[in-house]
Amino acid sequence: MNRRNFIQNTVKAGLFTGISLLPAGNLLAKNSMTETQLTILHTNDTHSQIFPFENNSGPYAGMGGIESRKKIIEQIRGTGNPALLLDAGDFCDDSSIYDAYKGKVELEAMRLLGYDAFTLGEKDFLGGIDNLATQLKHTGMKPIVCNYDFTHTSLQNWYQPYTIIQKENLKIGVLGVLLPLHDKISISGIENLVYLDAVMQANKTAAILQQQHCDIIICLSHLGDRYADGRISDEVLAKNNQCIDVIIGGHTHQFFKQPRLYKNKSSSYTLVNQAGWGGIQMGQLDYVFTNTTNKKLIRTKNILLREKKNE
Amino acid sequence: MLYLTFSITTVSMIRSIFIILFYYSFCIQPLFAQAITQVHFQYHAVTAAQKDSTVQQWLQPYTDSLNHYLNSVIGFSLENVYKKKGGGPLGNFITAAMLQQALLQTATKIDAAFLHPAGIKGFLPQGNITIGTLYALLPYTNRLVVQQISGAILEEFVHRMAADGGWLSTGINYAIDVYGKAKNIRIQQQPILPNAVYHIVVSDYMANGGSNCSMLRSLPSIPLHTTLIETCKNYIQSFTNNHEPITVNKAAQFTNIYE
Repeated sequence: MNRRNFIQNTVKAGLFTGISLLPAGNLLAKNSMTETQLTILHTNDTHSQIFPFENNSGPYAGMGGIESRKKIIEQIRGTGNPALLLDAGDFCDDSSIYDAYKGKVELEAMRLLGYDAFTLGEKDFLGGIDNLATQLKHTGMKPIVCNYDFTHTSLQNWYQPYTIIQKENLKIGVLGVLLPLHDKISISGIENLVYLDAVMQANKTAAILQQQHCDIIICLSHLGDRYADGRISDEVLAKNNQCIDVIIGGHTHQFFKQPRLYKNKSSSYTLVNQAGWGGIQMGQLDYVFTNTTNKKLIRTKNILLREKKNE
Repeated sequence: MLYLTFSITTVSMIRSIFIILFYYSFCIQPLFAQAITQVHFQYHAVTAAQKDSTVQQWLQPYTDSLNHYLNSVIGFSLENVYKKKGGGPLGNFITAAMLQQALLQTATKIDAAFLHPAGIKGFLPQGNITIGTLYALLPYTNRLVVQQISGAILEEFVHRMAADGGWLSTGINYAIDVYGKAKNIRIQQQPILPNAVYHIVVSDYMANGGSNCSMLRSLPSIPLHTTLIETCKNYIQSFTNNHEPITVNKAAQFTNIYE
């Protein structure tokens, strides 16, 4: 989607919030309402990049690394507004650190940075299903996945279809979906991971979150942003859901400059954002919630992380 | 695409972006003719401070033992082993490692091993070979796949490689003519029979059709769950276990015909 389209769409979205504001008669009356700002920070496909990219890595040299990421997160948390930190899977990849520790370091890093929720990607299974379950349990990290049945594996009881996070007066519903793994990786016991239709499961799970009166419903997705052949993707899910507000995407390593906005099945909008890969980029979405109207997106920042150069 | 606006802190510098401030009219109810929606879309680079003591403290034990692992010596090379156009000694060495690994894991006869040239970076230096050497040499996360291929498709694949000036290979020999066409293709010293079935080992990247290897995509495949790094480590250690430096086949796998 190009910039013009996005603006047009945002105008439409703005119209909705505009309409709901109109009966209030006066926009200045906004001060009398209680307002809460929520910042959603997100990463995807960090691929075991604990350290910044090495100097010989071409365009990415010196970018990323969890120290830079921590600084950004701390700055945003320092503003006092509630902040949500999310990851859309593939935090592991074949690398020296993954070969040596099999995902323990990556998961501990996410715990250290204070991730609120995360889903899995196909690369997180590289060390085998049992290894993933062991590392998740050792680090106390539970992934969010609603379109897979892991009952017949060691991941059983160690994943949730959704989670509800309370931040101040906000109730945030988070669900997770991932792509069909079978043609992406080859690991033993993969037949025990039972794929369920992503759109169906996401709608079912989002409906539960809506019933629980969540102020915003966020879907962590490792489906990929969109494909030429029209197979299941963030775009497909965005157009075919009822009540998902935001899809935090991954897998296709797209450096979104700004989010994409899609009209969903309930003539409202679903926003899709993705933050490249390797921890080079972080996505930021700022929402304002008022007690009389709904949420309103006020700002999006997609941030490239560069390390300070030694001079 | 990047425009300047403002900065967050002293350590972070923002090159931004654009701010959109738009007004729109609402025709139906002229009384509230104007509503303002302000959305900032920003895309910017941030330079964050380099060190964080909490991260350093947590990471230190891991980096220490990781460095210890990366510096552990697994073998010895008598000379620098280089990659050349179409393979060279280094290409021969790594594809020989692939062939051996596939043989050990499948216990079937593997006829040839192939790797796309971009799979290797740099060279194998003379002296001690460490695990770290292999991570530098093989920066991509390739895993091995054994494939069943008919002589006809194999020939098509060899032509594809010849057009590129030859790829890294073991087990196959051919000549490349001035037009970049493969000639006199021989697998395991024998001419290729179009209807015969061969077993080859390639990287998963190639098996999935990468580097224009679309002819490999739909072949019957057995993934070996082994990375290229692990493969080379095992191969090098097989020399070390016999108290020998590595042996490298320096013979070219193909010849160029100039006429």
